[in-house]
Amino acid sequence: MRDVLFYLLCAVMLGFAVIAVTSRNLFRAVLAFAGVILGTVILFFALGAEMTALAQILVYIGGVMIFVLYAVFLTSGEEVGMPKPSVAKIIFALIVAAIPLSLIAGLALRAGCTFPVAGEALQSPIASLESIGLRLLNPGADGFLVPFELISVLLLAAMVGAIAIATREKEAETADGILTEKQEDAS
Amino acid sequence: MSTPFSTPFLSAFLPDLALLVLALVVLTTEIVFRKHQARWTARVAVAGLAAVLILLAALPLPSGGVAYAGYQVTRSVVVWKQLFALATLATILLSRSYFRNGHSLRGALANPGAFYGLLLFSTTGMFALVSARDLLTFYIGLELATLPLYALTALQPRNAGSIEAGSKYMLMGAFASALSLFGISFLYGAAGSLGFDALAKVASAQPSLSAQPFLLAGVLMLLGSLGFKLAMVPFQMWAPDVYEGAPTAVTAFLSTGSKAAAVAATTTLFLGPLNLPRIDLGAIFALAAVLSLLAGTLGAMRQSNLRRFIAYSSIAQAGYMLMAFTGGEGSEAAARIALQYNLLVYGTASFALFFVVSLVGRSAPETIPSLRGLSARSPALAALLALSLFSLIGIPPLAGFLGKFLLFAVAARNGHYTLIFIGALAVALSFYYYMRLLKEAYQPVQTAENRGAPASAVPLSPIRLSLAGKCAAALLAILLVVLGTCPGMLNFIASR
Repeated sequence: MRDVLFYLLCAVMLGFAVIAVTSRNLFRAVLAFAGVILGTVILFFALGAEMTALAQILVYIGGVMIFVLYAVFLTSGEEVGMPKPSVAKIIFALIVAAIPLSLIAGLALRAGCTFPVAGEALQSPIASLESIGLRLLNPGADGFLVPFELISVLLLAAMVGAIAIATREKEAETADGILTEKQEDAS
Repeated sequence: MSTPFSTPFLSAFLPDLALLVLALVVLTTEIVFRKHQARWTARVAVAGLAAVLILLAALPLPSGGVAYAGYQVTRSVVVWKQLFALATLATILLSRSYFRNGHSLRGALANPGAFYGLLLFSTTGMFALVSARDLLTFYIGLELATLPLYALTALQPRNAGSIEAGSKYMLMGAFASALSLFGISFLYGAAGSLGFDALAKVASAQPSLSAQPFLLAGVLMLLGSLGFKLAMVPFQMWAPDVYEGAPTAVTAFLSTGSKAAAVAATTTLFLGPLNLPRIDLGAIFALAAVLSLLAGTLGAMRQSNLRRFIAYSSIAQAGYMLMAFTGGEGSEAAARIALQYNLLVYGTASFALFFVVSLVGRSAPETIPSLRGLSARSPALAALLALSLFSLIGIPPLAGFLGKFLLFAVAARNGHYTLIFIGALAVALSFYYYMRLLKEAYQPVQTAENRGAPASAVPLSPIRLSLAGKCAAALLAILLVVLGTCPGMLNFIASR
């Protein structure tokens, strides 16, 4: 039963993925992509990896998909259709897709389809939310307190950068205006 | 492990914490100072960075270093941090005039608080990067070091090239960081832990790479993503566009501070836990070095834009530095020292070059023909340009010679004589493209008097340096000579 469900889900995800790539309608392609991500979320839940599943929903469906939809609506306006790609483009895309596919397939084949887990990963195959939280705030040798704190700095830097780029033009104009006035006075 | 607030803990963390606090203070300086914001922000940043440098040099460190929650500080780490802080300091000093109108044809910079704050955030990321003892800290440090640079690249007001360069840089960077995350996930699968110790254990197992496909995939992906930051072939295509579009001070930081961080990151991994895979993959490092030398050399020959020229020259420099990673077992310490020395020397020469570029760029486009007549406009500046170019080529007794010699020596230990031959060939070819700049600078200008017509659009008014500018030029020139003639002085400073 479990196996049947797994393969069914995989088939649905692959179907969505094909739609996402082949659809000429951008909006439809984005929705199909969201379907692929939702399938991944269900897979993670089935594995018991609740944290990964939640992060997937938060980051991809909550964040990335919204961004993509915004970008689609802002840039394309009424016309959401795309022109048909040329044969050369299709061949190039297939080659590019084949490289990571062959890499991952090769790895899976060489590893005999089993993932060689080692060390602490063996003791607890999938970490719970609680243990992840404790680990992140653990100042010990195997904790991640420093990177956890650094992430907040990273977010702050990203925010400052975004604000600086967004407000830049207005300030530059006023500063320029003042100075050109001064220069005119001088001359 | 040391507990918080004990002496070794403080001595290890104080500089990093001070730098972080400084970044936050600089962000808010604009609120305090209503007038001359750019000047005051720069002053605060310079004073703070000087304090960080003093802390780095003065604080005692146990011989084995200090470790705390995936963060470690050793003597070599401190040297890296000093290099980053110096590069940031020089960048701030270089950038000051760009906040004033009329000091660059490309328009003045705005938002000093954000500009210097982002620069210091990037330096904080570099500090974390070299202190990392696990892949998570390493990755976050790498992101924190590069993410502010995307914004800084796009900070030039009303310059379409700057925005374009920023978005290009960010897209390329996002691809690189996705690649490194993918690689890290493979390494986690192979080692079962994110810690460097577990990784080193797995990497040293025999037979190493051929029997561990996950390790091989992870190592190759991480090498690719670091190759982006290093501007190593085949991941170098972003460099010329970004160098051209970014504000001059940011370009200077990209080619010195950011390059140093990329080399430090590669060192942290590939002269650390992934040392044995590096030796197994020596041929890949050698190939990347040769290709980078080739692409940088051939690219630099055809440029007339100074920034693109510097970008290609920095790709070639990445090629030289990659040679240090081709050494065999036992060459790690020599490679690390060669890289650190080389980055200091390269940084000094680069800043001297950017100093000249920034002064020439006040009244002319930043191109090689704009340098024409520099020796007549300012003999001292032309001499500084000559010193910096001779050092970049590697002519003794200037500092660049010893830097290249140390790098070649590491490669020679492992018998990579073909690589050294190609490196020497690249040095010979670099004569040609660096000398093009000098030829322009020292070419006598055909003036209007002896031609009877306006000679060119290039203004030939003499360049007058301020007192600070004179001091900076003198300091850079002295460093270029002294670093090359008595490098033992560095040893004295490092051992305190």
